[in-house]
Amino acid sequence: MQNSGRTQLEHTDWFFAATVMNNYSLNETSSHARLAAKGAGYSWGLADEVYRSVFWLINRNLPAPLMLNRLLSQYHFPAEVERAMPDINGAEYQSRGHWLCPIIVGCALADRVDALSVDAAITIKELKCPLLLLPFVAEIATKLDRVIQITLESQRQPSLMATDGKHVRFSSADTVELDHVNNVKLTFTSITEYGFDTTDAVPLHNRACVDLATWDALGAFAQHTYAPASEASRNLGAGAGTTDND
Amino acid sequence: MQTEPTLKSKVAKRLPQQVMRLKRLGSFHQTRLSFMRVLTRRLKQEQWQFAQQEFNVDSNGVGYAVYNAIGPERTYSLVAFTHDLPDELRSDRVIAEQWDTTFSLFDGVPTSVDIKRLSDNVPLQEAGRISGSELTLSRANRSVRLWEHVVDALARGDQPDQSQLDSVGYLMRTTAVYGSGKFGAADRQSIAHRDECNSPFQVEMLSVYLIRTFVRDLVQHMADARGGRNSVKLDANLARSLGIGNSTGLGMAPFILKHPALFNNWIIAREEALAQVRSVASPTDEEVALFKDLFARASRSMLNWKTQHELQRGKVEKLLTDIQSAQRYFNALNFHTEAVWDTVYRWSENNLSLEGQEFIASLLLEPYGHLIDGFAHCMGSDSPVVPSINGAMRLAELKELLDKQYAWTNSIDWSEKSALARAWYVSEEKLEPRLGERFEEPVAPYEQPLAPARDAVQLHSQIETQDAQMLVADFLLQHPNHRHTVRRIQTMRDLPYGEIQDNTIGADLLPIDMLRCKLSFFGAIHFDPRSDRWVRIRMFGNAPYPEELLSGDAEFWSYPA
Repeated sequence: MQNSGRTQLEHTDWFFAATVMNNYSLNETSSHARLAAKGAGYSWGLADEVYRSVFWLINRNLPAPLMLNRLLSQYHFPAEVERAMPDINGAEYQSRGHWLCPIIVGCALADRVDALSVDAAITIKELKCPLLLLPFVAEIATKLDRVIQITLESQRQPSLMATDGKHVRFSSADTVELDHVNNVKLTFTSITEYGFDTTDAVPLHNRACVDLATWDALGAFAQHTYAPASEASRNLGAGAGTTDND
Repeated sequence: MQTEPTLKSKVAKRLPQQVMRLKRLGSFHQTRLSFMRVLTRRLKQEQWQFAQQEFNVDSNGVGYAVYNAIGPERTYSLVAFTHDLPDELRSDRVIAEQWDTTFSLFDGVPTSVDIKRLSDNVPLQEAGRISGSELTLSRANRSVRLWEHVVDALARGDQPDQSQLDSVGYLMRTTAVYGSGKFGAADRQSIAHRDECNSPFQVEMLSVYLIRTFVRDLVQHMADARGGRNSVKLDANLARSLGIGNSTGLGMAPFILKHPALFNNWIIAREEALAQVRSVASPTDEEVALFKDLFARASRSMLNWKTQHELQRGKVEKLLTDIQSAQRYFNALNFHTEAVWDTVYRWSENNLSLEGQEFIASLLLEPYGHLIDGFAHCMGSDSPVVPSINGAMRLAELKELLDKQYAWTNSIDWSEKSALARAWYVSEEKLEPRLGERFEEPVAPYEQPLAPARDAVQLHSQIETQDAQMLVADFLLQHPNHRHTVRRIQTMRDLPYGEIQDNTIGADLLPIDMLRCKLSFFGAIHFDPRSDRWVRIRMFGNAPYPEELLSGDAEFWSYPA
């Protein structure tokens, strides 16, 4: 399975998938994502993790904004974010509500990296948008010097993501766009045993292509972080009042 | 870097609790490590070439121009657009929508296709889009009074009046210079590996340096258009006295809170430089002579520091008194004694205001480029924007870090409303940071995480209710609202100069202190606050123009001779 059915990261996979694509810098895209997460109800500290996750993914030309928008669209009100937190029982991550957030699970895993046992698999139940988990797993893989294989099981045939931090392999192109998986299993393998090759090396990109609809949808979440304007606050807040024509 | 005989026991850096107070940071002056001076030093050392690729401006001042700065490895080009702006639309506020001139720094040499694309976007500023081929986006407005005076004088065949030039100091002032990925520009990370971009804000400084050249050429062009054969060329000495103004508002203040690793490196470079100079065993005659010369030049320059702002005027008056005291002290001082610079610094601490102390601290660095200029390479930061959290830490250890690094928060009475009086928020209108009155405006729900002192205190109280052996990972799962603070506390362990040790939301906060600190690292002089939250400065005043770089003074131009 490890070397079969894999898909190399091709620019064309999602680049031409949507109609209007805009070209953004990595920083503005990640900052946009951070604010969107905050606007959707995440704490600032978790929103910072969204920045980190999105930056890592778009740096590798993976459709993080698209998946983040799908994730955030699951929330009906900000307090729902808490229900997407995991209850952790040993190596098992379960939802307190109906499903788990990949950012919060990613943080919980990365925060526990020193206590992780590479001998036992980690299981995660009912996970949304697993692509967003990948940067956290990549960080853990780098620290543990292992390949981590992520098996994603839903109604259909299982999909795979694998990374050692430098390389990334997907079992098929549509893996990156999975919305929901019932069972996720993380297993640890030695790097030599797994055998990544040069086709798994991910070229780094300096720009992000994001379709306008996704950008605007994230912007609508981010909007919740901005205070509505008023002339009073405009003058109080920005300290205006003197003439500029000198 | 060269070495110099130093004292047996090196003078230690000033401690963070002394340096990282807003009142002191808000009294910082430019140094030879300031980013403008790092730039001009490099341009001269590497013998950069400059060219006016195009100057396509009509007699109404409408058109565009392209200037190339050609370095040993790469060329950067300022693409300038100039407009005919009615006076009533001219505003320095970030909410303005039109400007006299707009600019972008292009990475390379732009083609006509690039220029066309930029002409459709750059004049719109925030409402337009630039690309990964552009490094900065900026705009500038005329000083109406001085612009007209200079055009009028030159057109009539006269030189402008020096005192009028001095009273404003610039023909145009920029109101924003955006870089690092803003509005589609290239990310800082994509150019950080370049030697010439190693020190912070080098492309932004190069943009302003080229803008100053363009503005000089534009005013001449307008005078020639008006005066025809009667017009004369602006005298080179008068032209050199002009810098570029800059209006900086609150948008810049959060920067030093949001980038603690970078800020730490700026401060530590300056503090280490000061410690090195204070450790010099005894100066040479040349070093003493240079110090005395620059002290005299700087003292004269301070006489021209004009500001209407009451608080700053008080500080400048004190500085002028300090300069007189220092002059008397230096007259009586034998500079050829052991550790004289340490003696001078200590004297300043005991006898001068903060403004005077920091003035002397900056000046002491001047004769020692051979010891300290290399520190400019350490002022950038490649630390991740969002560092990882160590979840294996026990709460007991986190509490120890808090107790050690944030003990200064104990001096603030958090039960007083005034300690929480302000809230940083972002306005819907222009997406710019603002400072609101928490108890007078409904801004608290939109508060930005720019109050590390309050957040540290809140984290401390929360930790005290928990089992000390609890892992940070488990704590954060229950309390995600403390995640940004835990990250900051853990990060600050390695960043002794990364945190401002004052309350950034208190009723007595003066945001201009934060602006002044950052702008001093840019190399600004003559800070002129226009309120407690925006400030005007002058950049590159007295600096050599590109064609003067090889023969002119690229080193000490901040101190007019």
